[in-house]
Amino acid sequence: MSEARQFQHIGQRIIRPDGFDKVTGRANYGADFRLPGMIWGKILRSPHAHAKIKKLDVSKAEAHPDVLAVATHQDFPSVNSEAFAAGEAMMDVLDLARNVLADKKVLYHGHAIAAIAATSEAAAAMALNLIEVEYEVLPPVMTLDAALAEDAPLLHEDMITQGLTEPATTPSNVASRMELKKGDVAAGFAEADVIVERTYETPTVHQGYIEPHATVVRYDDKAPSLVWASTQGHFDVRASVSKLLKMKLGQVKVIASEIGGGFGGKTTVYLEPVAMILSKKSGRPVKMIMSREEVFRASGPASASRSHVKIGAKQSGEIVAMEATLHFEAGAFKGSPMGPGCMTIFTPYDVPNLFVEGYDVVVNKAKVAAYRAPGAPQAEFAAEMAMNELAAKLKMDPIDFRLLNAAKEGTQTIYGPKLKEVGLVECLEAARRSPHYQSQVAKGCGRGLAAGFWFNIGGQSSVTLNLNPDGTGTIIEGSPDIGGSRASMQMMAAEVLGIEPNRLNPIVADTETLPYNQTTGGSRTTFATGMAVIEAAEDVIEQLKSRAASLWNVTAEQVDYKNGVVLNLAGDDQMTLAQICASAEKTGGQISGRGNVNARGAGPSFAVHLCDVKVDQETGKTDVVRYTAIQDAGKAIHPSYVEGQFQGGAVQGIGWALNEEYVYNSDGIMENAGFLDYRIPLASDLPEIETIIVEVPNTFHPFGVRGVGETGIVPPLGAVASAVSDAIDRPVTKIPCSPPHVLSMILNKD
Amino acid sequence: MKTHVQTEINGEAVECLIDPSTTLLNMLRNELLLTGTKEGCGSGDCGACSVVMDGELVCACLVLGVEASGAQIETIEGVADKDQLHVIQEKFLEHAALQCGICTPGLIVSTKALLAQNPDPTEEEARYFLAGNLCRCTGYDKIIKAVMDAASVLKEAS
Amino acid sequence: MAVVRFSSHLETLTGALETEVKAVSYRDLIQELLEKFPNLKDAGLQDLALALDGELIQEPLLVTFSSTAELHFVPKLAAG
Repeated sequence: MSEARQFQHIGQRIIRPDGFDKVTGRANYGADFRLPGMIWGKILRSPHAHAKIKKLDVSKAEAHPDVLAVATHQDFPSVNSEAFAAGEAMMDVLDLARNVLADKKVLYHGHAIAAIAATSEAAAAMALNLIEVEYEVLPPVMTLDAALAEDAPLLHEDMITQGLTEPATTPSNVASRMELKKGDVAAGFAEADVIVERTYETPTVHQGYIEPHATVVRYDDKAPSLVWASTQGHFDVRASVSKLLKMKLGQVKVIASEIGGGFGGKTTVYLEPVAMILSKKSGRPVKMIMSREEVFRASGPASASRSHVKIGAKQSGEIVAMEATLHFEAGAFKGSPMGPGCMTIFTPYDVPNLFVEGYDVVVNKAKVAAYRAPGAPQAEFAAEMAMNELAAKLKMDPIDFRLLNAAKEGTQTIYGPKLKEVGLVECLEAARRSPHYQSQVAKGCGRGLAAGFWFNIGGQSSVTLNLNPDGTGTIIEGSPDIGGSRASMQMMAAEVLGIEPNRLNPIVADTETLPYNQTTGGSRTTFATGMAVIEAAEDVIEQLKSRAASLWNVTAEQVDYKNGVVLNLAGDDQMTLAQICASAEKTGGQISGRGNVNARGAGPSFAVHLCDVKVDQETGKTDVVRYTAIQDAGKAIHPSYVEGQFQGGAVQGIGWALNEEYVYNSDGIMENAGFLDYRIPLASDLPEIETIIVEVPNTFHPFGVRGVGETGIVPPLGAVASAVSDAIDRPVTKIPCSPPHVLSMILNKD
Repeated sequence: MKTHVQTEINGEAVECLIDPSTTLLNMLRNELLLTGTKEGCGSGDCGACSVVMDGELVCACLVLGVEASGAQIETIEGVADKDQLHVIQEKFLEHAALQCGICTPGLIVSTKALLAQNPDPTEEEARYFLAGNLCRCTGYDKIIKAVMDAASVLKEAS
Repeated sequence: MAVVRFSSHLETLTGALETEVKAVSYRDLIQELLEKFPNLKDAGLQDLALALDGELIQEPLLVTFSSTAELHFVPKLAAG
């Protein structure tokens, strides 16, 4: 349990230990690795969004002198449909195998069909043309309406909707339905004086990590095969690869490279299993890198969605009922984040009557992957827009309206449990006091705001803390560092041990060095891996005390540890950590601490964002002129990296709200598969992103930490779109608010 | 048939044999093993491969290796002086202007080019000069703060 | 007695919004619920997370609780 206390290191802004390598170009990312004898792999991708594969003939490619191996789906040992925990989501193994290399059908433009390993990148690319494929082209299903239509072409002939009140008897494109409720919405709405009811839409978007997927794989028969991969979770890469290829976990060693962004998109596998097959067949290490175009077309974007939301309130501002029907696009295989969408949509509010139903729908687009609080941005965008419209109808300030109905400790969520201590009220009050909110909205500008919620997870982390004879040491942890977490590990260990942080070097170790560590994601790393670091440091302290006691010939109860020093309570000796390490050889061997947790008690993080925009009434172009991100971090271990998470999430959300969308043509082909036309925010698009860190400690963590990585992407969609709505005096129900869309809203006066 | 290229990288004369279609980016990374310069898009849209060629900031993915013949190339590997970081690198670390770090080499090279050209930029000038360097993690806020701080320190020193 | 509250989906299988249980451990809880509501055998309870007095526990196998506990079954979380 944490208490309000003074910390020595927690809360400082140290230079990150991996910083030198990052600013000098020395850090090694996915594509920066090589092995002797390495060859190059390339993938043949479907030119059709939806087709049956009638014939696949790789013989000419196999015969080419530069080609050393060819892989197809037939190279997977047969796998049965089985749910399998990998990358934080239950994933059907058969679906995974079919996504990595298509089986009998191709289900999106860019779907991998076969792969070639050749002596050079150019030779591999050229040899792809030697593969002969015959397709029976089918009509592509590219929208929710097309997927749900009576006579819709079916992506999967065996897809029977799960979770319907009346069980389905015929197949469809709806994988599942979910329903959550609390109280009685019909009775609730009957008491409403004002109701807002609208349908909101969000497009397919990509996480936009700047580093494409990359891997180097060397199959080995007698020793563990080696996988070097850019990934958020190398232990889950090991699990996926070994499952798909029927290898034992101990036969696959995965090294996590430094990772150039993931945001959820690198929690699954695309290239690694293919490279393993190619390496096995060729007897050579194989390097595979996705091009930027392949990243857009064939990695996992975030679900497009449609949300019908209805909220009713009394004239006093008390919300009496909230209801929603959510449709999420899963892409080619089942498994959108419809569930978390349903669970989070109304969670910022304490309302007695709630009803949410959600549908997971397949379409001929790439299979979606997680994107920072998956499902929540789409769903909460809809709720927040309706909330702002309702506040305006009630002539209430939108912050006051939210305060009146805010979720707090004891609020029962729609998914069942009551919230423990949370910081939404504190965030709303901080928003109201903020310089941004206190300022007048500039002429010609509009202002919007929105709240956001994400659960955050704990999960499994294992850490070893090894001390050297001179009192320096290493923190060996297993969480790929996507945002500077190694600095926080160093600080938490230093705080517990009472030494300077730079005495301990944190490293992210491979799958052979530590037991299983869950993926970096879910806002879990500082929380759960931090808990393991703390546990390992406390284990070290016990060992230090015991060694000192034996040197002084006293009992364990007669020593204490404070600020890096063991004190003899039965005398006035003391020994520093370094001194005890120096004599470790004499007292039983080297000192090494261990922390293995399956962390419980992750605290949710609430946020409130404020946004001012200026809209050019002639072109529809929208500029963000002021932005403030306010979020509850519980306890900010390293404030700069906490602020960084707030700012990064905010800007991804700004992009989602203003510019980003996958544009498809009538054949189901993405037309803007590059950074020129898939327009993520640039430095010149943005103002300073002001941040306010709220700290309502999570009492389950020794320092009060709440995960912060994900919540920050939830409020910006509603904050930005509401600001646009305010600026143009029209209700916005669809994002992105790109210039043509805003202009058409300005011109259509309905 | 491969072409023999002789060039100067970070003040050092180097040579290699490359296919004429090889980009400067791939020549640096795959032939010269200088992997500090990154590929984010291969089409000149992200700036991760920013290098300076004969004093001009370019995307190495849009330059052919053969074009580097006889030229002077500066990459991220030449910014620090052995273990002494450049002010720009120090400020990036101090301001936490990087999270995953993949865009950082390109941004540091671009920032150095900015300040060589315009030692006293306004924030707007800095943002527009660096608009060709995409970052997805930071939202650019701390990057710009680092750049402005580096500019002011370098100005003092000169 | 601890109380288990059922979500919509589980409610359709049990016919009840909530039920009291004698169990004080997760293992005994599952056994007691399956005996009381045989239809729950198709619900995949073991694949769900458990919320215990508001705390979401993704791996509840070894969880024990008091006789005043409030329990919910909640889908396991994916995240990014």
